[in-house]
Amino acid sequence: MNTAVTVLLAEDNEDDLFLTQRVLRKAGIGPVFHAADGREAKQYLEGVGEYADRASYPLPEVVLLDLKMPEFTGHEVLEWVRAQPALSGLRVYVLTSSDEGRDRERVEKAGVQGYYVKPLTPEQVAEIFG
Amino acid sequence: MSEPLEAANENRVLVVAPLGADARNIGEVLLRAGCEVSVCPDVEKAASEMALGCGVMLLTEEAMLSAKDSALPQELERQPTWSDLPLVLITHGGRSDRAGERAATLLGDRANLTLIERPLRATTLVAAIKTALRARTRQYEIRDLIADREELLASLEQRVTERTAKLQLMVEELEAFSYSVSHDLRAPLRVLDGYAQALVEDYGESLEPGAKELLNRISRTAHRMDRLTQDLLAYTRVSRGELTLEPVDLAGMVRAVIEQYPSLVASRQFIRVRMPMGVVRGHVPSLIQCFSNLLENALKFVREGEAPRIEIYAETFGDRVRVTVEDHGVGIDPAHQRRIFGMFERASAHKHVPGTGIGLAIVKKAAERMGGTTGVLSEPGRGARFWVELARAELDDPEER
Repeated sequence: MNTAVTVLLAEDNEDDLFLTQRVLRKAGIGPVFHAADGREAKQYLEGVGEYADRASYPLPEVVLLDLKMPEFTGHEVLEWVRAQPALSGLRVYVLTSSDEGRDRERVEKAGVQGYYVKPLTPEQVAEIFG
Repeated sequence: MSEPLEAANENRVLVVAPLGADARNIGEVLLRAGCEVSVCPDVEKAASEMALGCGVMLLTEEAMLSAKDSALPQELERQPTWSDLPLVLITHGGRSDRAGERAATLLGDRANLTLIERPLRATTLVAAIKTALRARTRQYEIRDLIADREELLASLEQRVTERTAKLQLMVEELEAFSYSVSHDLRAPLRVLDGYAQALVEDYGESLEPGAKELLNRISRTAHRMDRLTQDLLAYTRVSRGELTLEPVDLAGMVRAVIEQYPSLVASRQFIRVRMPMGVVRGHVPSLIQCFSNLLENALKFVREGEAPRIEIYAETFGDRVRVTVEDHGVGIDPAHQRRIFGMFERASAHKHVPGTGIGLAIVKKAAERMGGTTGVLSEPGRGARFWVELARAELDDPEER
């Protein structure tokens, strides 16, 4: 497994944040940066404000994206990402609390590398970073 | 604005007489007879007055001379369907035929024309006008009936529109509700399970076996609660929404069920599908919901120490097809057979078998939504036969599935 990967984890729920960070830490994946809602995730990826400093906030290779977030939902962030030519190499994995058909359809239409129901298991981490 | 005017004028007699003396005489006779009278010097004026309300139009033959280029023929043509304005034409004596013909050519076929010959007698004139007014009153009655009916139709339509909007809103609210149940109710359960597992993984070494067992119980409870929420969601999904029924090939559907469910794939060697199965009118997601539940049940309720032995087959009775899932498991006491299709009902003898008590309620609801029925035949200790009966169908195009 390639563990030296820059990850942006967009997650507003503290419990899910704790569990996802834990499973990534256990697998030795990192560095992991965190965005607390959809707007922050978008600003991070755009390099707006403090995120302009790419030495401190490097552009991630992988985004782990929660769907139900305030400000911008994960759907909105994903659809925005897919419209940015500069981010075309970004791998996006959706983490959701429920396997809803319509969520999956919308996400697949936008284009993602994977879709997981939380909490992420060590096996799924191996799948993403393997 | 025009309506009260029209109502005020609707019984008036419009007298069209270019000669002042004629008009005065006729007007006086009619006023004495209790009529409402308006005198117009020419047909043009009469045509514009007609739109403001008119019970009868009385014309002299002299007046007809100016009728040709007037707006009157158009006004007559333009009357609403209920209206057929009575026209009374006063002709010169002995020339009625020609006068009538000319009037018809001038005024068009729509003219409802009565001819009176000079010399004019007051009684004849009044009688002709009164008759015409009575006919006109009938026309007004029809107009009012049509208006009432249109108002009723409009209000009905309005009510249907409102109802539909309300229903639409309810469906949307239900959708939003089940979406939030699915997301918000299940999320904490997964987290709870996540924490319990994290404890076991990170501190398992230093925990006593009793403590570990308690953590496992927390995990199992969270799983059970999660399953319960999922089943409740499945139940609300089969209860509402549009179901489009189409011919469904049963064998293909059963294969899809077994392949879609991990618990069924793992036990597929215990399930025998008896061919041929045929085609029913159904809704694929609802059918999958039905038979996954029935097959999972059949796998669960086995006799201790025995491997499950399940058969699924279809029988045709006339235009109905009965699909049966037969097991050789523990069976069901006749006392419970009817109840087990209810919500949260579980046969008390099998409390140790995991389940939410919603599975068979889902089967029943799904079958009903497809116009089908469901039931069970069983004897304790001798297995059970759960069946779903649906309308038989033909596959339109064998390539379709």
